[in-house]
Amino acid sequence: MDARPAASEPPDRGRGADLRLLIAWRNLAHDRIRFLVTLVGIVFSVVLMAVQSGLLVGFVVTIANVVENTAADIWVVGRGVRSVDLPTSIPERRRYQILSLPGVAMVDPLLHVFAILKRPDGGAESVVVVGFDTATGIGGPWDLIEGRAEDLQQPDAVILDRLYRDKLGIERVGQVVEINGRRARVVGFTDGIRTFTQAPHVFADIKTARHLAGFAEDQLNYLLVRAVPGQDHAALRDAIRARVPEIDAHSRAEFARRSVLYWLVTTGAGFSLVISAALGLVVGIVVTAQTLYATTIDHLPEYATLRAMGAPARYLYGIILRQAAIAAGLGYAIGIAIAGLVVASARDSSAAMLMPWPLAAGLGAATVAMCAAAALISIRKVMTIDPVSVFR
Amino acid sequence: MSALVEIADASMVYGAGEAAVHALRGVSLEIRRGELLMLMGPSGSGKTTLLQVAGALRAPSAGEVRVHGQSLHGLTQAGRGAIRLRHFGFVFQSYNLFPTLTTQENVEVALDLRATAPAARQRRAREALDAVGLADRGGAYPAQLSGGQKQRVAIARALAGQPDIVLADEPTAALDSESGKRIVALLVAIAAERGRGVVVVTHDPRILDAADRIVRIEDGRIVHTETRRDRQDTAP
Repeated sequence: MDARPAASEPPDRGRGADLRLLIAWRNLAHDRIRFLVTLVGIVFSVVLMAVQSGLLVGFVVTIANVVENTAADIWVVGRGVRSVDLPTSIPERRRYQILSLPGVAMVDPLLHVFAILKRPDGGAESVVVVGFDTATGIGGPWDLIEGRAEDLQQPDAVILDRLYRDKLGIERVGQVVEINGRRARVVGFTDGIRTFTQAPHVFADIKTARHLAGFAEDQLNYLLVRAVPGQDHAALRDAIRARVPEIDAHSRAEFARRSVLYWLVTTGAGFSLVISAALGLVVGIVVTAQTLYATTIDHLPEYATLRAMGAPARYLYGIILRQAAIAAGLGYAIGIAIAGLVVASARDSSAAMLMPWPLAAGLGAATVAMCAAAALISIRKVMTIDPVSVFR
Repeated sequence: MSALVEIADASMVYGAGEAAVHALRGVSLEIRRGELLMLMGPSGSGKTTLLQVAGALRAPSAGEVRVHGQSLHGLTQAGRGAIRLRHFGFVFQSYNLFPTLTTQENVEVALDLRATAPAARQRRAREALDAVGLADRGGAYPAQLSGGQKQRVAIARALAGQPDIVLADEPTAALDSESGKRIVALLVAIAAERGRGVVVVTHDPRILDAADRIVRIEDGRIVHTETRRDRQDTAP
């Protein structure tokens, strides 16, 4: 009639080590259709958050990619320039003013100008001609898959990204195209240099770029400054600002951030992506909360029984949190797998969608937080159960 | 027989003013070791309220309740929960088993509440089921059991935590005569073998013979108490 413990018990292992996890799982799986609906809701939420966040990350990376991939320590820009895509002209003589400053190793010009590329079928597309000094290579293309950056020293030579071949009607290296009514010849392709403005980058030697853009010989948009080794970049930036007050100077990170913030905040584009991602989170919370609550209501007699038996509060909400964790874990696993497929399928599209591991991990944390938040209503309900209700 | 629970002059009032309902009026009662005590009375007489007060489920409006000499006065809900977990096992009229758990798992819940290690929890649950004659039904779900079997699982669950006091609310009400007898035999054994106090609220006159003491309640008052010896003395 009794079940007294043995003097020494075997070690903890085997089936059902966590009985609350088992109860949580059975509570959820008991109504399979409702559990399926819960999972669909969480998966939808995870995919929505992942896609919107992936677009946001791609957006940020794309906006600043020219700045981030240029080996300049300081960007000298026209007064009031807020984004790399919106430059103003700088006179060439500024270059020599800056070169005269101590701590400056090199100053390279960069042209960054919108132009019109005529497609072979007669249509037209906007492009951004990026002209750089091919002698130093600063500001030039990266991730080349065909051709070499040095090939741009040839007259009229340009390099584009393979992602925009169809958009621009360009099929092969050697193809001749027309930019602003002037002849240009494709000498190579890069892989994955996307553009946020949907006007593809066309890299060219600065002389070619000036020719294509119809710019004067001394016209440029940016000066790319490299400091001598050991030079403090912030101090050099301040020195440039003091020496040439007509222009602005930013460190590479500052100018990248400035460009990103301009498009994210000023245009509202980033805001809409953030709102969409937040919407995904809200949808997930609502769906999960509704289901967890319904599951809790279904099992109220059991919770009341546990309370009558003297179950501590942590035991009860331990069950509900485990339900939330199970739903979050399964929903996240399926959702992130689908999001991964979406990201993979977008690899060859011009719209950047990136899923770096910190983002995937962050989404996991968001999913867990979402389900935990959804569990709060159920916990509140369970904690208000009167244990004597089991006698009614 | 020493007192496990002492109820002194306990009253319980629900509501206030003209709508006030006096469920208990100055009830004093002891639950003793090794005793099977049955609470009888018509519906609404206050016997279930008395069970709840005795079981630390409710604090009385007035009077005092002591469990192992410890007053429950002023304890929070959590404090009373801890007392229940330490000293009481409950058997409910409608069994209150977890429908999604097997009988073995249902019994394990009582041990898991007491933070029993998994291996010990499983072994002791098996032993508790064996004690109520259901060792071979550990893998069955409640829906696969008869009413009598379900109540035996509920008793196994109540015993698994090794409580000092077992409180049973109408444990035979939903059972046929044979099943009821078996349940009562179990309750008698629980009280006799380990010196537990067992309190049974019942309407069922068929089981009264098993009681060491019968307490009759009407209108919130104890109106009659009868011990086994009283019954033997008055037997023809």
